[in-house]
Amino acid sequence: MEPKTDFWRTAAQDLDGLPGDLGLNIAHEAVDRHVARGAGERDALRFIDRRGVARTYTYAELGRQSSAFANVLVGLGVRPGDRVFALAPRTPELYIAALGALKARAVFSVLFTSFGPEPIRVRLLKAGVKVLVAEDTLYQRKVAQNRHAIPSLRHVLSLGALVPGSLSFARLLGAARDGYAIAPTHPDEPALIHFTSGTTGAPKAAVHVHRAVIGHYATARLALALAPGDVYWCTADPGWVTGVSYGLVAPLVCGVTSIVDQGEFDAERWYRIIEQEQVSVLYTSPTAIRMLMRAGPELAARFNLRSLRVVASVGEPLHADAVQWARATLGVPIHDTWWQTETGAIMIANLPGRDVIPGAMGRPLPGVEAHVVRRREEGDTLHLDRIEGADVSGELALIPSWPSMFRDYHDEPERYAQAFCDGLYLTGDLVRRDAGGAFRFLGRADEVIKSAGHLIGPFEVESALLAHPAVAEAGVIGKPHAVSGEVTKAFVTLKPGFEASDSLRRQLIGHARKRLGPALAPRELAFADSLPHTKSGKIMRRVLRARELGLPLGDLSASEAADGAESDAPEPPSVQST
Amino acid sequence: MNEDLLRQIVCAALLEIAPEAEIEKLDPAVSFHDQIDFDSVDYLNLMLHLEKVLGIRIPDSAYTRLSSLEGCLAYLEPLLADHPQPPEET
Repeated sequence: MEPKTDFWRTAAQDLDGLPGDLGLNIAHEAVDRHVARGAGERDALRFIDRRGVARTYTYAELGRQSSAFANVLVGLGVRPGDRVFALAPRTPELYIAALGALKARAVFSVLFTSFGPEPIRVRLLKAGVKVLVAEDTLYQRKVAQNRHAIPSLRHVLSLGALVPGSLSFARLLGAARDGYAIAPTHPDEPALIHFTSGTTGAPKAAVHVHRAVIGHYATARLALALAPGDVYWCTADPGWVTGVSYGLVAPLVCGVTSIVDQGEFDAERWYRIIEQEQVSVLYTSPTAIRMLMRAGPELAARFNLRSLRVVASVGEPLHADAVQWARATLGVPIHDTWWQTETGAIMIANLPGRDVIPGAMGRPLPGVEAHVVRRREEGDTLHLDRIEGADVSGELALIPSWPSMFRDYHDEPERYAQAFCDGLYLTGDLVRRDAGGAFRFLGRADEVIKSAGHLIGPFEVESALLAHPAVAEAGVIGKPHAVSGEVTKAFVTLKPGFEASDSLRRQLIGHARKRLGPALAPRELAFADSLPHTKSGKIMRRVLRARELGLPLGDLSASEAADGAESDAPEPPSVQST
Repeated sequence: MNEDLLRQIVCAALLEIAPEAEIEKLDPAVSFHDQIDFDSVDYLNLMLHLEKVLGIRIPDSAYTRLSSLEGCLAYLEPLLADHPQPPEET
């Protein structure tokens, strides 16, 4: 079958391209083209600060400021392809920096502000970052101590107070010209990096290109039903792919007004924002929805939520009860969507205007061809068997023919190549396809942990624990959690001379939180006399998980289905909790 | 319950979730998020922990009022007026 490219080709016709047929640049499509078409005075981004005070940027203002920042970068010697990263809360400067970097044809990424110093160091180093835009306090708490170890980092542009070794973002921006003609940009030039995690090894830096904007635009139109006039709110943090693809790029390309909430989660605040701002499209996560559910229907009933036209969700499976709750409480169902950091945009969804299938990810978008496959090894070669028919389970694999598909793991061509087989991109997600062609999520084929919509690589957590002098070995698993889907739990064995105790347990959790930040650090930790290993010495996390969940050891959960490789028998169990 | 005891209980709960926190350096008026990176799961765990230790029910709507040390004390004190003795910590 031919790849389904017509859908994307049609969507691309709605975009303008750089004037003079000079290519395709995300920032031009997001901002400058609206200004060129006379919509510059339309509200683009509305920031709501912690006190509830709004500050709105029009498309024209965003265009001028991002142009000024592009000039700042060029003045600092930034060249196309150089990496410009940001470590900042959801301030206007973060969005201006993103768009300015894209205009200057730098490769942009946002670091999650809840990361500790270690994940930040690893990511800056991995991407060879040249310029970092950072809030002063975050920089001092999380970067300053490691700056000497990141030789590529030439400039730190500080938001807020000047910190040693930094330049003032505000001063540079204020002194720069606010006109900037974007240089010719090939659609396949790198534009964005998003980090993600695998079971083994350091995080992966997925590279996306300017052409991805076609995917952001087309999927936001179709799966979120975004149209000019909408007030749209994507609650995802820009430190994760959703916050960039659908919190920054997609709404601006669609020409809508996008809400950026600078406050912490608070159910009452969320309902108030929906009412006051007349939010028509909300894109959020199952974790946030479960927190709203906890807050009770009485709270929701105090607000007028009738502006809501579409509510969609991403990040982890959305259970059927959440869909029913939303119908009753928000007045609309929730449309689950499925995609990954690598796919860059929504691939499978319950489309607005069609019946929602509660508990299902939905069906592939028109431009997406999805298959259920099983991996088969012949000698050293991996092959995929496509499983046809209804009600079949296996790994989800996609024909990589959509514009927002990642093009590389930065500096790791081998890891990139491993993501593909027989012309298909392997998602690592196990699914079931029903008779109607809808997909349901069953679990991960590997051992990554999905917590509050974030993908956590156990290796990164284990490495931090192993850096503590008491820890001999560590195995980290995801444990089901009523609100965040999964939480991270660590099992550790101790070096001789160290005794398991409650005080050491706390010390280790504290140690991990300090290095990794709360999003990655284990929330629970148990000591073990030994951890189960394969004969080749690998820790069998799935055995730890089976024991923790009280599954029979022979039944190692859904993950077994996709991985027959690790067939070594586990050692006898010996886990003790404290 | 007197304020000192309540403060001790809240700090103990905080240390259970974020053992790395340097309690004496915390600004009581500034949110835990801004000082020790508390995230939503941390706040939820803090709330559940306080419920258990104090033997009270805290509605989710009180969530944000527990976001700083000062906020915790201000919210919990009147609530505990009828609870002279906290239940034993388990």
